[in-house]
Amino acid sequence: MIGIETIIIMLIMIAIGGVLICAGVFFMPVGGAPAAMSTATGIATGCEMMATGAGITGLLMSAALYGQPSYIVILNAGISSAIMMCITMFVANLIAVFGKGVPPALATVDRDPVTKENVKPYVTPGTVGHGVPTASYVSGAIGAFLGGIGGALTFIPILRIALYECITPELAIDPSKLLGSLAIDVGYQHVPLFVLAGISALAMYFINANIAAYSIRGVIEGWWDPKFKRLPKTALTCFIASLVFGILVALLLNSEAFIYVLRLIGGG
Amino acid sequence: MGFDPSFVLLVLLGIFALIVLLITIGEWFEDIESDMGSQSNPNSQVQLAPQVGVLHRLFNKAISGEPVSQGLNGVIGATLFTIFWWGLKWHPALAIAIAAAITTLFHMTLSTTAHVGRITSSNVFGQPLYYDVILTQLPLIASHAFILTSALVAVSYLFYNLFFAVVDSIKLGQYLGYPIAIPLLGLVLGITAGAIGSSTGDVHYGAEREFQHAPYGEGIPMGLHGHIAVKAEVGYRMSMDMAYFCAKYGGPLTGLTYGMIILLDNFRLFMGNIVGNVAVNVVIGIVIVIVLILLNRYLEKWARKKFGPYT
Repeated sequence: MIGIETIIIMLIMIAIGGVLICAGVFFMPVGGAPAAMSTATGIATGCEMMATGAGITGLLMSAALYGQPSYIVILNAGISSAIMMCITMFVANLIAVFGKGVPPALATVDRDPVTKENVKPYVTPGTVGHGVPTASYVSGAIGAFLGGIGGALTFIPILRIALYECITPELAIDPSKLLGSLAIDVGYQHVPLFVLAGISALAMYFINANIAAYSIRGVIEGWWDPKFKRLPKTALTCFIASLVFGILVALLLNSEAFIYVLRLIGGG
Repeated sequence: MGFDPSFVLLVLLGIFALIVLLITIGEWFEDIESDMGSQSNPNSQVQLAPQVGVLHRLFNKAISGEPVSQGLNGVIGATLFTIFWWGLKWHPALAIAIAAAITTLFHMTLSTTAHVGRITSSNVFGQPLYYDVILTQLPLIASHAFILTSALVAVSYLFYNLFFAVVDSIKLGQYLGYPIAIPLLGLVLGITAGAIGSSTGDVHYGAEREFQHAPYGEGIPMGLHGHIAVKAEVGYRMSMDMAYFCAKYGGPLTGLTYGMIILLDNFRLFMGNIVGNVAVNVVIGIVIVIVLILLNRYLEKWARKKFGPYT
């Protein structure tokens, strides 16, 4: 049985996760197709794909550390995503510098917001910057960190509720168990629960990154970009969308048929 | 027969090295495969070229974004592998090969329909559909996709099996591996492979190879978009000339990116688990991020000093 407190905690975690994923996408220096031609600053791919690609590294880390207390899992997932993003941006810069011979440059501001260097003279005329300059790099690392946290916030409650329903179906789930450490040794039979939580978190990335992508419309450099001002409204949209998604998950986890399947898995 | 625990750890390190190697090679080929099919971001230029009067002989198979396409490859391969290995009890090596081969057939079908559809849509601008372009590029695309799919499936299998493996009462899952089913692992590893391939390797293909007549050392101005290079070293440029070029720099670096991500991320998990303290994970992770930020700053300063401002 899932108590109402547990469901509320899960819904809050999922909704905050959605807002964090949305904020993470706004921080990422998304360059889209023009960045692949060194016509725009940022990473040469779309918002959804970048957020999902970085988030997956965090998801895998949260699956590996499933037994640790929640705050440790969340922190580690964020750092994993940040590492993925940092390496990708660094190599993108290596290719821009040695493959095309262009130094990283920003176009929307005259001075780099982090290093305070004058970056305008390095921009090729007819382009809006190229590569990933330091400010965009730091912004991308922050964005990936937030995105990774958002994915882990979705992954943890779904996995834990399903695990407890499966192992101790007759007991009500104590809400504090969602946040503390997990003293369960998982076996082959529990793999479907990880898949359920993983697919849900993956869906959250696609939902929220898509909403953010509509707001960004193509290219964003970082927190100094004029498009960044659209964050509050988009975050509210993501909060509501994630809440709806969370209610669907709660309905699934509470349904008779699903609980019956979970009992078969747990051997109860 | 009892094993020394340190020997088991050594074998585990060997498997870890194998995973990183497989991922690196797979991602290397992924980038070349996408360059050969003009699949990712630079396909916008290949699509635009006939509209500005530049007729080309390039393969254009942008079925979808690169991550989704490689995720599809990964999930088809991993699902077939699970059926063969777990359901039919085949040997894993054989199951990987057969699963990747069948996935390649799917990929070839999608590539052909996408190329024919895309080129015929540019037919109103006078772009012909060359039969020999399909015949000569398709086997190359298939072979590269095969290597990527087999690498993804093999890595998924290793990660999953490592988690539940018990050697001499030592559970390897406490050090490495993920308790996620193989098809989902194939999907997520494929999506990440595509995301990395489209954000790093593409720059070499789109900014340099497609615009080789533009001066080295500038970004591509908007006005030049669509005017891609159609003449090769010998004759008209085909997609295999793109692969020949990108395999020298863009491809290896893309492979290195994914390899480094899997290496560093699992290294900190591994170290934290050996010491038995999760704080070690966090500290190593933060140090890696800071070192990368400093490295990027150094590269930026070096490039600005070396190339100078645009005059």
